[in-house]
Amino acid sequence: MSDINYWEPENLTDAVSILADRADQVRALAGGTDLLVKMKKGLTNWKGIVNLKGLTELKGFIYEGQTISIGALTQISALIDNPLLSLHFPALVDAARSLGTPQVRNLATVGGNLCNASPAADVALVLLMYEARLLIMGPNGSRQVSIQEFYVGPGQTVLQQGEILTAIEIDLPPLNSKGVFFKHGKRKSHEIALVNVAVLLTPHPGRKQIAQARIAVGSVASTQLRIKDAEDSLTNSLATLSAFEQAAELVKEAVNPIDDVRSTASYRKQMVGVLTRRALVEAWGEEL
Amino acid sequence: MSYSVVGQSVPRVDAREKVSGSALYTGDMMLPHMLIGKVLRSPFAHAKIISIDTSKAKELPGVKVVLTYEDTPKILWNSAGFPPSPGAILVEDQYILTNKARYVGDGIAAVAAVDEATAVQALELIEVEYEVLPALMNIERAMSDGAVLIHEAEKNIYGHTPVVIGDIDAGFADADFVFEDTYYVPKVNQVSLEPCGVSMAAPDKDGRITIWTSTQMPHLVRSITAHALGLKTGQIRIIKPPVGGAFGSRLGVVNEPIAALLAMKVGQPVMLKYTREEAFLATESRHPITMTIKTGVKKDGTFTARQLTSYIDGGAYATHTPSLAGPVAGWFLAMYKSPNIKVDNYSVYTNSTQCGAFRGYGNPQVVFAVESQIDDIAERLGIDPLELRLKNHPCAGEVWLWSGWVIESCGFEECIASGAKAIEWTKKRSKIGNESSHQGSKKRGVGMGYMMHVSGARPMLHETSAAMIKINEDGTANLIYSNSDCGQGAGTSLSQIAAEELGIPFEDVMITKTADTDVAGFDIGSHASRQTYSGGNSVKNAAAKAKQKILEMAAEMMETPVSELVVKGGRVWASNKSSEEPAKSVSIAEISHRAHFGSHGNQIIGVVSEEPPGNPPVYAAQFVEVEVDTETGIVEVLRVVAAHDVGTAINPAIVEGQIEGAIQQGIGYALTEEYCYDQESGKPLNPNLSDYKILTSVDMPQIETILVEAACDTGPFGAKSVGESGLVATAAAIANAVYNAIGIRFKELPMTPERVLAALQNKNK
Repeated sequence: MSDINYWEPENLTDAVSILADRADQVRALAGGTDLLVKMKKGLTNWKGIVNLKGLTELKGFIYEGQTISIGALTQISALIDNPLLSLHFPALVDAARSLGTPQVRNLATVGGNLCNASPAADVALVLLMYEARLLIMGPNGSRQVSIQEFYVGPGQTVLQQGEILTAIEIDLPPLNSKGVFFKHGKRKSHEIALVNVAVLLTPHPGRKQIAQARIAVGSVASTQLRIKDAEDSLTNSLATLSAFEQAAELVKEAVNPIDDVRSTASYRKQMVGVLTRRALVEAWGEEL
Repeated sequence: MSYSVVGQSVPRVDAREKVSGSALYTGDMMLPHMLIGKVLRSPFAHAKIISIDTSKAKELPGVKVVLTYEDTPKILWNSAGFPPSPGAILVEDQYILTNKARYVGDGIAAVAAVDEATAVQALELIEVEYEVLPALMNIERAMSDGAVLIHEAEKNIYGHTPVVIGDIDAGFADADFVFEDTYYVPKVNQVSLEPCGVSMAAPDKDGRITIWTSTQMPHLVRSITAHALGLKTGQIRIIKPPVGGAFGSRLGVVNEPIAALLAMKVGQPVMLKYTREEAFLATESRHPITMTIKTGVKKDGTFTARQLTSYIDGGAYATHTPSLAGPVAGWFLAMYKSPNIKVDNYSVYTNSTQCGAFRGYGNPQVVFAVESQIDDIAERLGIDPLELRLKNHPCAGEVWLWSGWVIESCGFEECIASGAKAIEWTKKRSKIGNESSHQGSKKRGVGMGYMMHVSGARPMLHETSAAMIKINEDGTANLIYSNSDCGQGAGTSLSQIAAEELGIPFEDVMITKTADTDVAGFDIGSHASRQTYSGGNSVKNAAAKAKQKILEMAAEMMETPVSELVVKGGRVWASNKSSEEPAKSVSIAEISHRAHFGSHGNQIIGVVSEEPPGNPPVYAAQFVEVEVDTETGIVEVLRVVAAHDVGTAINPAIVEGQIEGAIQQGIGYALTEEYCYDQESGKPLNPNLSDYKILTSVDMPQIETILVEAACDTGPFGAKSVGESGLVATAAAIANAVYNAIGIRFKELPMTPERVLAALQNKNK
């Protein structure tokens, strides 16, 4: 590892200006659980690191009406410890619990999980399902993008030079809806998802028909995906096992996984179907 | 028999320092002027080295020395920690740094620099020109006609170990059924917490060199390192601090000669500490073996012939492989009785990292194959698998073919009975593939596996241990021993044996926690589950010698013959002639004080260097219950019942810990662990703990250990062994439980979700 520059800005403005001035030669450091590993492996040629840990204003939760704003530097472990999240966003808490190991969760941040743009990210997948809005600060001021627009490819986002993700906003899901996160791996902890799935089902009053369905899947394409066809197939349909199976089939058709050392494309494709169906059954929560 | 210290789960002698983090491992050490060593590794699996230019690296400020093959002694050697003995086939095919790359990670050059960053930078400045050769990543390719030779061995086969007992053809002719199956087990890593390959070498001004190293066998590492360097054994001093797990990975030389050569060339201490990735890339692991087993059997379950043909993939260098081929034969032929047995084991070179020792030394491989086939035989004959095993296993009083000696004690029947009861064998086996929750997609099954293992490796080699007990002025005792405890707890068990024999409290025995070849007598090390049995015998006999002197001194002081004295609780007591008189006693402190400073002027010391009189086998029956998710292929182990005959359990908590820890490795072997290589380039694909999947604490099932204490005559207080046996039968038991759950026989490990799902889909076609 060769010598690099290192900054610890005390406020967001300074952080943005350092990052903007040095263009793509410097990287922002949040939890460091991906960044430092890449640096140690010699996979980078970065000339500098801007440590954001001192920006305490980017940490924690703000509740306003129907919206929760999560600071981008909030640790994954803080999601698990938050009782209101457990109440309203249980799938988010499940995803946080499944991420890495306790040591990783104490360092890794929500913003880092998004900005790293891994197709396998657990917390980011659930935020995709909850239709998060991402607040970004840059040299030209702040802007907001929907999480759907955030990813460009594996490891790539719409963040421009000097831009920092500052907060993630999610609205309370519809009343009576239920969100579920399922992750598939070879072990129960310290695992990168072979496939992960986050779904949300909202029943019509009377609970026979589905009012709205959301299905987000990870590790099966170059970015995480919402599967619109599968969601639409469930809207206003009766909640039956065959409806869920059909939706799962549509998910399988929509994805394009790869072969790598962790699994095969064919296995991932089969698993995204099984997990989607199981997650939908779980989210419906009643005998079918 | 009742003991006072033996049989107690006393806290380990190294517990406090390890739990508090104050234990100093080799990698924690610092010496003034210490340099950091690094090794340049081949990026190619098989390549000639056309040229190496180290000039730029040498010019880098802070670099003190750069070595290549040109700088190494031209002495061929073998890294395996195997003593010269009739059973050892030690093919010498290594140099300290190679002149031809034979696997990705082979050591090409080494540097020592003032710090790690400089050393790493120096490696980048070394220019190597390679001529890349075909990478032979499996035995089929290595043995194929016209395959390029990795060393000078025809078809890359460098060893054949045959065994013939009786007439195998007549045995098969005599059989009602003949079963023939081929099994494959993968290469797996020991994954000790402290990565394998940590040593620090410091030369002195008298031509000697001290090496602190994380090893299982200080004395053998001393002599092998000396040979590789062209030094006399006495020129090297090995110090073994606490070791963070070994499991066979440190059963021999790892990187000590590189550290020593660097240090000697520069005249300064050098620390050479491998990363986790290097431990995967460049240190020894478990042998992949392809095994064909042919078994002839009568309708009543009597075996008429048993045959094993195995191809052992030893990787790029011979190290342990031809020597391991002997025990591989031994494990096979000694498990079940048969009048006709034939074994042919072949050692094959490939372009993967060399294989060596890993907990069980070939036994987990053999047991997976044998125990899988035994279940198939039982099913075909309509015999309960437990009955078939009970009918054919060797018992106490019979000759055990591994050693050729009579079996001293056998707790196998009790292992089967208590294990079957705990897992509810009769009830659960009757419901094959019983369905549980989740839309009927999950199927449960139970299965079991049996194994036998050694307590040392006699008579294949000498199991020498030396022990010295010295009684201090205050009555406490030092146990001077080449303590190669690598985390298993042997140092504690040996201290208990010493305390029991001496008749003093456990706390009053102080073992040398650090092994030092300049201090303790020759000890072969921690291998073959030998420390408690073999080392324990030496410790007990050294203590007995010291005790005899204590008694003689007490007899003088108490004016009572030795025959009427007993030692208990740190005092020597005269047996009461009549209950009227108060008991007469004198403390060992008083005795020792008198020995030192009274009329005699000597310290009471007991010393022995010897090997134990036997090699009593241990038995185990492991039972598991699994749940197979037929939609995902995931096999979950729900429960393990491990019934082990260990002889007397000197420290039951340590024995249970050994079994439970081993089961973690056994489940990984069955389900998740495997080295993956790109078959064309030979590049390792998962040399890290993210992609090489060892199980975590949350993956572990409920484990019940059942200790069956069939004490043996020759062991210290009846102890046999436990170190390796905990994982030997686990994978077989899981494979048999999976068969019970879904009716599919897996002949290849690991049973990954992908493989299980594919097999389920094939079956349903």
